[in-house]
Amino acid sequence: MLMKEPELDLGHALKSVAINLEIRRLLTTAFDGWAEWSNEVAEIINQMEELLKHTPDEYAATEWQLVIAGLRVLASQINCEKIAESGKGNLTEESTKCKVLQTKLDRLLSSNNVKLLAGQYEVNELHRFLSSIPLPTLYWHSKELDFPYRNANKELENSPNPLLRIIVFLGCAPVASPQLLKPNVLYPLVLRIRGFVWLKEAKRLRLDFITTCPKSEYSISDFVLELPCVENNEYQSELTGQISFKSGQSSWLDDLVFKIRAAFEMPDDSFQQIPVIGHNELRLKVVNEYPIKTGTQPLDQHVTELIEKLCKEHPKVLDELPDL
Amino acid sequence: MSWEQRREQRKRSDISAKEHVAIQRLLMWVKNEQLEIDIRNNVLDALKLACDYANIVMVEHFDSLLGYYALVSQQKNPPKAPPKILLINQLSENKKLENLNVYSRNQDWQVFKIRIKECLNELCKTNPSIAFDSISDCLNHPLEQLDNNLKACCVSLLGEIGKDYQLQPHVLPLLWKALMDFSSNLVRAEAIDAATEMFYYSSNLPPANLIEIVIIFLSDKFVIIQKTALRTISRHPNWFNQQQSIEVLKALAWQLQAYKDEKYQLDDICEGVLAIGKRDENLSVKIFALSLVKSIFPTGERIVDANIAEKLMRFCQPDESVARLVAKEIALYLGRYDRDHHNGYGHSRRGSMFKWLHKLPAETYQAIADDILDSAKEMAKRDAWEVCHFASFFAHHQAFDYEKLVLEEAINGLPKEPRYEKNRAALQQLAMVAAANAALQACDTQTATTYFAQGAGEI
Repeated sequence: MLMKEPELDLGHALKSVAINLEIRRLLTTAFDGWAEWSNEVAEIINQMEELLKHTPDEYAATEWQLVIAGLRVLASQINCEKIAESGKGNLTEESTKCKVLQTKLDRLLSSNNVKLLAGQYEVNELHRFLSSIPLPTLYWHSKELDFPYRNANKELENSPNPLLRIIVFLGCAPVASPQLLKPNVLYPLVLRIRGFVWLKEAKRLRLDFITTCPKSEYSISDFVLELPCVENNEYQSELTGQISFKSGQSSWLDDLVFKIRAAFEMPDDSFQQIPVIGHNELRLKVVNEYPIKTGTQPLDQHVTELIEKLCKEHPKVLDELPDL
Repeated sequence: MSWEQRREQRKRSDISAKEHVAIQRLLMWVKNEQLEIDIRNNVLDALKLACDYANIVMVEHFDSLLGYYALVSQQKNPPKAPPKILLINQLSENKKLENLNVYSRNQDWQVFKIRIKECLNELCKTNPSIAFDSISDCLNHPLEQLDNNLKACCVSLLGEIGKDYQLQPHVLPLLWKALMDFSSNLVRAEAIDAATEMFYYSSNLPPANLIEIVIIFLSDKFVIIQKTALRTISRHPNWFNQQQSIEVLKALAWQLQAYKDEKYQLDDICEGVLAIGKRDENLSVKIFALSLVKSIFPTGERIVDANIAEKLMRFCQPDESVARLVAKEIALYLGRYDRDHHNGYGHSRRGSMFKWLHKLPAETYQAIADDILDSAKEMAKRDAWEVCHFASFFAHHQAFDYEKLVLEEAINGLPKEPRYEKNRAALQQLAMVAAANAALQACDTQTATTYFAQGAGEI
């Protein structure tokens, strides 16, 4: 059972004002287009009921209930007249319905010490009566209390979501960020993946790379994982391929970014993307010449970082780099 | 260890040899003045656990602990700090730091005494009859020969022992003796507290003379006695019959006048006044209590007024006849002070007060409508959002004219800056609908239609 608490809400008050104004507009409109008027009444009654549902009982004025009941009687009265005039529809059924609605209205009125005379149920009189009822603005809203522990239970009840962890190897070493590469060299690329939850209907898992680098400048293998062995909702595999670049970059400062995207291929050939963690993005630098080549990868990496920092702080140094 | 096992531990008849050794060591360390006070305080923490879970052994040391308390209670200052190791070229300590250290040691010494008392209290709870023998032996000495602090401690332990129904006839004479010990105010104050503690969960009333003495102490010339008696009255307003209630209220009326300029004292006194008024079913007593509170309310001190207004709200239900008087005061408070803008409004006192006001019956509302309107107008000048609570209150009671007035006041109170325009428009729409409802109520359909059209933005 939901726990609710009353609170003053101006949004709720303005909603009740808007409905009040709509009722006034409706009651001052002539019944030219009966079908349209009837639809509008039905809609406004729905809105009123919805509003009262979100208003705490102790703050809901009885006038609102009264107007709902009155509008129902009025709509039914007009319908009876319409059927009588056109001869289409079941007049007995509609008039019985009207009487039941009148009884309900009577009951509400008597609880407010008001009694309508027989003649006052006539369409114009009822219309005038409803127009004269002031509808108090409903300022209080019934707020549902939010208990975090309840949501926690809901989350547990839901099935777990798929997730993929990837570690990318270039040759035998994991990819550094940024990784220095030379153009016109074919590098082996290994994706070691470990997944959580394989969708039951999925045919295979596809991985691709999103980048702003022109497609004509690089080539990379397709990485596809066919249905693996899934144990305790977990699976792992290793996908191998190659990557190569045709030309080097002009500037040292910008990295080429390749974002890894993973998606399950479904039987209807649609794709369902899943989140990737770990090496979910490759930052590469494709250079023709290393500024200083020591032969030790970590040291080269460190030198590159130092040169990058130098170039950022003193851009003029860029021209001197080839001599360096 | 589960809670059930822990509970069982309290009832066991014997303890292990290791526990015996541990308790001996703890008792030794507590009395060892070579140890620092904070260490001894930690030892007392452990000893308190022993009093709880190994009371069968600890009760044997009750006299020893009480005797030790008798010794330390006379010692105003803590034992000297152990000597320091002097180092060459060491700078002398800052004077302020030294003073702080002295202050801290004094505080630890007071905590040390309190913890011994807590251990004794724990043993009184589990073994009241054994503890009573020791305490009565101690108190049967001529009172003049005993240190006041020790006497006060023994008397306060009587409160715990007196919870045992069988021992009450033996405890009461000692308590009475302490109540009449005019040589020490501390002892008398502790005796009142002990009496309160003794009958805290009791369905029976204390002896009539005990109740009488509480009323007399309310007019005592010493503040400590007055305060303690007042505390008892706030906790046990049901002890007093109608005549006694009026006597209490008269005494409290005198206190209210005496402390008129000390606002924070008024809070406690009002608590006593309202507790008495709430318990007594006689309407005149309730009105008397309310008139006393009204004589000092609002005090002008924000926190005190908030506390008193909250107590007033809890004083009666909205459908009671005195709710009319209470509602005026609550509205006065709401109109006078701002809400707390830094915390949520949902469970605030002010939110509860508005909910309380909303439950007022129509006839009560009729009697106080103008007073509430004044408060609402005052609030409207400062807070356009909160005043909507008042607008809602008036709408609920079909006072659409008042609703409109309050909303218009709020619109006028809004600063003329672009960021308030949205709120201004919303309030204007609410005010138009309120005006239209008021016109409908006066059977003026033409004016109502105009206002509704204005509300809908058609004019």
